[in-house]
Amino acid sequence: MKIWKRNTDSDEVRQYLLGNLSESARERLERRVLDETGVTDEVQASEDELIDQYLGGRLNAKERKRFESFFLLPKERQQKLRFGRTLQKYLDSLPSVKADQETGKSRFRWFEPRPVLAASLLVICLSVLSALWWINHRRVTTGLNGQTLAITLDPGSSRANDGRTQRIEVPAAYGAVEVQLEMASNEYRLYEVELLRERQLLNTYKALQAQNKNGRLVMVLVIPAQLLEPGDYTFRLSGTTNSGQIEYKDQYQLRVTPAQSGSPKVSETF
Amino acid sequence: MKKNWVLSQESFDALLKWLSADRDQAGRIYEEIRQRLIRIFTARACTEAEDLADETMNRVASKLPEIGGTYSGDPAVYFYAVANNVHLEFLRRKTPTPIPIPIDDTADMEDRFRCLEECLGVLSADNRELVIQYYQDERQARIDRRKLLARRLGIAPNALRIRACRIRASLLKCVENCLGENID
Repeated sequence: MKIWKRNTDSDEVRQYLLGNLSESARERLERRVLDETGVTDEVQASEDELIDQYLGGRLNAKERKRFESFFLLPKERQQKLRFGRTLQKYLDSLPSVKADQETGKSRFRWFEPRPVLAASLLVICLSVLSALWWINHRRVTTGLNGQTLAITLDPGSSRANDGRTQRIEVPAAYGAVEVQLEMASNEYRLYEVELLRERQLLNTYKALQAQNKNGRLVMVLVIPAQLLEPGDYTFRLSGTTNSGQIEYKDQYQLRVTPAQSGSPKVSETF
Repeated sequence: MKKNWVLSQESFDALLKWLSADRDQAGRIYEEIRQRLIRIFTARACTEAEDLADETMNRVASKLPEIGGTYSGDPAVYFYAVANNVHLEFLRRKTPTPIPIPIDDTADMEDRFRCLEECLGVLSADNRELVIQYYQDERQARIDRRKLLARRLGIAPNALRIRACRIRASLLKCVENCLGENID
């Protein structure tokens, strides 16, 4: 079996998928598709990558044309394109990527083969378990004094707006959720925010002021985590004029989904 | 292949026997070749890849009485040669027309989201985390994240790529099933 030369052969597969290979090169590659499992895998992976690049606007004009006029002809690939778009929008709707990296770090670190650390890890594990028990105990007894989950919502994101709704898993493990509503401008001295679940008013937060967080203008709300059961939430932001009138400004959407993997995916925790 | 030739049980059995003396093994080879032919026809942007693969299989079966005793070599090569003829005939009778790019409306996207969430829920926690981590981010951030992921999993970057691709394929199948479509 030939060794797969990732970089050079990937380029060839990419051209193959766009229908740009000469007949002889195509035949050479297809014979390998028939013979080698690795080549079939490479073709599949390259298909996915082309689709993601197309959806991300990362194909050049020529590639884009070939993609639309050649690559997309089979129904199977049209399904893949639809799926790629759904996956991309789903990932976009998850809380910020930076924090997931942190989550990922902690989760995947355990796969690293580091036998020399095993003994130390055992001691650390015991310490962590004790600490977790203490934190959990403390959270139960102190509520909002426990860990806080922070999320940032963009204005206007709604189901009608290309399906992008910010999502978090139910934050039951946290004492509170700090919601930061991104604002484009700050025209009012005071604001109020209505929190609705499935169009039912849950709470109104009054006399709020916009804050500057790392150069971003945001409205910060701290909500008890137990309030956020699975469901669709709307944050309706209004400004208070000098004469005391309330003027609607923007709204923000959040979907809380049932917990699936233990701890919720978060933008940051502190 | 003669017009109106239909694959009989006898022809099918002969084809399996040609592929391997062990019938189970022959069945596996048959399906493997068929799947790869579908992939090849799809890569050539044929709109009826499965039909063309089946046509190729049937045509080889019909030729067996002539070549079965004399042909020496890998049967897959023979299938490939026949597939080329089938493809040429396909091109002669069919002019590819540009297709509209599929655009999902909001209601459709909501269903797809719901199905994707359900299907992610069916994955193991590790696979779910892997697919989310692997496909998040853009450009350099994505490259960096993937390198990090591969290092943490203790596998080569390309092995991670293939693993993510397989999980993605299973998710696609699950989502399409959830939506009530058949893509087998």
